[in-house]
Amino acid sequence: MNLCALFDDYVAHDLAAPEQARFEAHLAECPACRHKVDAERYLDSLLAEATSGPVPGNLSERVRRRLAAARQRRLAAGLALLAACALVSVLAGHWLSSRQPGDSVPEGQAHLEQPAPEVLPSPASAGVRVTFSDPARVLAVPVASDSPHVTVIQVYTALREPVGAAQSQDNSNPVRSDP
Amino acid sequence: MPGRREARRGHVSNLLEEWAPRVYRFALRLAGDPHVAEDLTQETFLRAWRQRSRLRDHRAGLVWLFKIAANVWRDQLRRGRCLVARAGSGAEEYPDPAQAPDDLVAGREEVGRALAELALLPARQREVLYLSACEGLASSAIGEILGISADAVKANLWLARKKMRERLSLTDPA
Repeated sequence: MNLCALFDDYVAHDLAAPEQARFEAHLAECPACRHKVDAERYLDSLLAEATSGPVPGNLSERVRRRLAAARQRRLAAGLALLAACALVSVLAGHWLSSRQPGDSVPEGQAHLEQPAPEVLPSPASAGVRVTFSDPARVLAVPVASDSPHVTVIQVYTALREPVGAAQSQDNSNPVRSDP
Repeated sequence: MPGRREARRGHVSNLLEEWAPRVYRFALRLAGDPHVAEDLTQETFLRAWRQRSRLRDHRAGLVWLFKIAANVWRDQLRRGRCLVARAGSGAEEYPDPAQAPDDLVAGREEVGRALAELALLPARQREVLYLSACEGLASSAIGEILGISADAVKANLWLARKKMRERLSLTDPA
């Protein structure tokens, strides 16, 4: 291998340790490479000296102060966020405690304002009279209703014989009587 | 764990003492102005502190800081504005960047000329040459800092060295 070809990589600090050692051993035998390397090293030493001038006084201290100020700002922002969370918690607790127990919404249901059910006034004399021409052939069975204002009565009639005014041809149809 | 915290603070403080001047000198090569370089240095450490969780290997800390400095500088250039010197930073506090330490006094004009010629190089060549010659960084690390390939680093380095040798009338090794 021609070790002179390693010159550029050597100057650029790109050689691995074993290659660098080989090239430096080669320098002792190759005056041309040694001359070139000396020239580059001289340039490097000039540049190193030229750029190693003094830095501003208290540079590190000023950097440290700016970092400390940034830390303080971040801490203040964190505390402000914490205070805001605490305030929201307090307000939410106050709002919840001020609500009536009956206002609670069952779990899983959306909370919507429901209108109160409208209760229609029912006249005291309200009542439905149903008459059958032959009551002996009718069977009336009351059925449970969802509303206290509605009564459902299932009417069953005898076969082949029509029954009274409120009767149904289909003996499975209920007759509703609303007060 | 106050002991551990104190130890960490001491460690950070030592790193700051060691690295701040080197970051400043690199920033000076980027910006060419001592006021801007100091603000760039402060901004670099501020951003590094915010991103400190990303630094896994503290041995790579300096390369990481140089990379942040280069990014901050690029951001500033992209936005079309430079960092301004902070109020209260008197110009008398800043050393003259053209004045090399003691060498001009000692009559070594070459050092001053080298600094002047370095400043005249195109920005990319100046940055690559500085990081290679003064910080001893390999092409891969320089490429990482500047966001370019190692081959691009080598090409810029070769050109920069050639120009500097010519302008300083040093022996051409080619």
